[in-house]
Amino acid sequence: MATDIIRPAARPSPWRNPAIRGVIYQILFVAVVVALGWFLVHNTVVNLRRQNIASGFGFLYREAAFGIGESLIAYSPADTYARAFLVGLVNTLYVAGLGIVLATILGTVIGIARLSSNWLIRKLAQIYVETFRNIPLLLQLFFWWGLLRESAPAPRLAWELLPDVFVSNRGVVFPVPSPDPAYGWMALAFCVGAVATIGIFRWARQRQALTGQQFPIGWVGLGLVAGPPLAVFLVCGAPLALDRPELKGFNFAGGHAVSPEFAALLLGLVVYTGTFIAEIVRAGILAVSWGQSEAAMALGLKSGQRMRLIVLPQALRVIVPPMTSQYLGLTKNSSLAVAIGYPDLVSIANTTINQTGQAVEGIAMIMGVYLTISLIISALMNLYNRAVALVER
Amino acid sequence: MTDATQDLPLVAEPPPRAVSGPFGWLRANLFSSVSNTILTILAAAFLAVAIPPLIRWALVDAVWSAPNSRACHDAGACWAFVHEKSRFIFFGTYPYEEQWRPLFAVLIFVALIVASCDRRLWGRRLVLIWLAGLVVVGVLMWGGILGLSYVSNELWGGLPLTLIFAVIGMASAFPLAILLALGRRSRLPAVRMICVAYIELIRGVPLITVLFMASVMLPLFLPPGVTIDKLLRAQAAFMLFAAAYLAEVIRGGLQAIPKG
Repeated sequence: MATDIIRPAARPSPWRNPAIRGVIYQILFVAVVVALGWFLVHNTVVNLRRQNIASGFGFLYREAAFGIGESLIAYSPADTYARAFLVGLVNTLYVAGLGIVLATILGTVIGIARLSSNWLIRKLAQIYVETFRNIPLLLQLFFWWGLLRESAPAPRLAWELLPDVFVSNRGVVFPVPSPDPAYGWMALAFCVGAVATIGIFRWARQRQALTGQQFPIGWVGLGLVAGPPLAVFLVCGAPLALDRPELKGFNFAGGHAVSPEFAALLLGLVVYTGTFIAEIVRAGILAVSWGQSEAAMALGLKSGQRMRLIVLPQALRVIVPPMTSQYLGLTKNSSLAVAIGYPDLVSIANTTINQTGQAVEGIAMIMGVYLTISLIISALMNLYNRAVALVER
Repeated sequence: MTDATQDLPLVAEPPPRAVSGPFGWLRANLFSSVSNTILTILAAAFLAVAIPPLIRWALVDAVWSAPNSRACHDAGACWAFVHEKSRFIFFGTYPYEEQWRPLFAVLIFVALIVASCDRRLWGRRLVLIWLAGLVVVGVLMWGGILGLSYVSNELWGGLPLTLIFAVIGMASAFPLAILLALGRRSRLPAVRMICVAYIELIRGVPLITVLFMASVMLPLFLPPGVTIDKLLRAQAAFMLFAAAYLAEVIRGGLQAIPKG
């Protein structure tokens, strides 16, 4: 009897084999998840049938029958829900794209200002960062929106911030150059110049690697990029006419007008995200040890070259990954537009859900779109990150 | 032959520039170079333009007490309005007579949070104190026993609600986050994939869509006849959202420990 117990098992029981145990655990886990999913889907189907709500994406082809305050593409209430979604998507991408560019510029300037040797500049930048970083974005949006919508005067008494830039409770209007065929040609000339510069840059780098001779690529590139458009501009007779906003009746005519909602959203997103980017930039620059700069000086590099060749590439390595999360955050935060009435994707989907009752489809579409945008931004930034990341040899 | 320098009279050197004291500080920090001086002047000009109107608006022209809303017209900041509505701002639509109860709830929360910041107090006792505190807060907010009148959570609002949301959301998200983080590092592919899918899905969408989903879709998800109130719905959404973010923080912590 005792021998039975002592006898070493020739083969361990299947239960003790980690591989088999792993498979069993996984089957159990997947079964639980699938059961939960099935439970939710089943309930939803039952509930929808009970409430007589249609399912499927057929509603997208029906008439939307609601107006949208501002849109970059043509839209009228007679268009379909699909078109309305597209308007929302374009509005979201517009504000997010502009916000990312402006927040990066603002954050970089403030981040460098925080490292300035000038006490006043340093302190001002610090006050800005610590104030706007610690106030919820939603409150900031309400603040800017209230400032523009409630506190700003009527167009008649509009504040003139700069010559011909007016702020009133109808939004912000500023002059834009009147359309002229010359601008199209200038853009073409710019593209040609840019391509030529890239070509010359490659050739110059190759030549420097082979012979050690340097080529004044900075000045030649500047000439190639700025020269042709300038030449076209002068040949076309320097069309400088501006489309200026003018008070006509109760509102401004001419110029480019931006609604208070858009202005508040963009301002809030840029000012809020700019603080985080400033801290990231500051951290990135501080992460490059002073010894690197000293070594560069010992090699005889000028201060510009030191920044461009030594400090910046190493700082970017630290800056890029957290910057990606800030860009993602800005894009996702743009959905707070629904709180101040800017017709972004979430706001339009919300209206659609209220009108059709098809919550499942509406929310699935919003989530799908944001997920796609997030993944695209991540993928692009990861590509860029791979280009600047430390290559260990 | 004498050294030429010996004959030269000593030129009176200017005293060395102050490197200490207030002027030295100013020179080093504000006027160390031409560009710095320009920056300083620009910043000072900005402050000179921005600060006086702000002070005029916030203090000089402000209305501190007003009999009605018309007194605030064409004036500076209307602090009278904030004073008038302060109870509403802090406690929302909670019954006016009973607002000492949310006030005490807030004080309990603040005391608990301050106590938790002290590392020496960490231990089993603190957990018990937290649980007791939460029970007291619940009794204070809902009432219905001990002679307190019942207040439905539809009427809650303001600061106590914010604190309840944050504390309970974080506390309940934490265990889920640990499970998700461990699941993401698991060697079992199915477990890992499901955890990764959940975390990336939640992290890829804005909080507001998760809240929308909770308010619109949760009622559809549950069997007919079962309803959960708005407070719990929002709380659940917040928990699911916070768990995904916390899981990544925990995973970062786990990865920082080398395998050895």
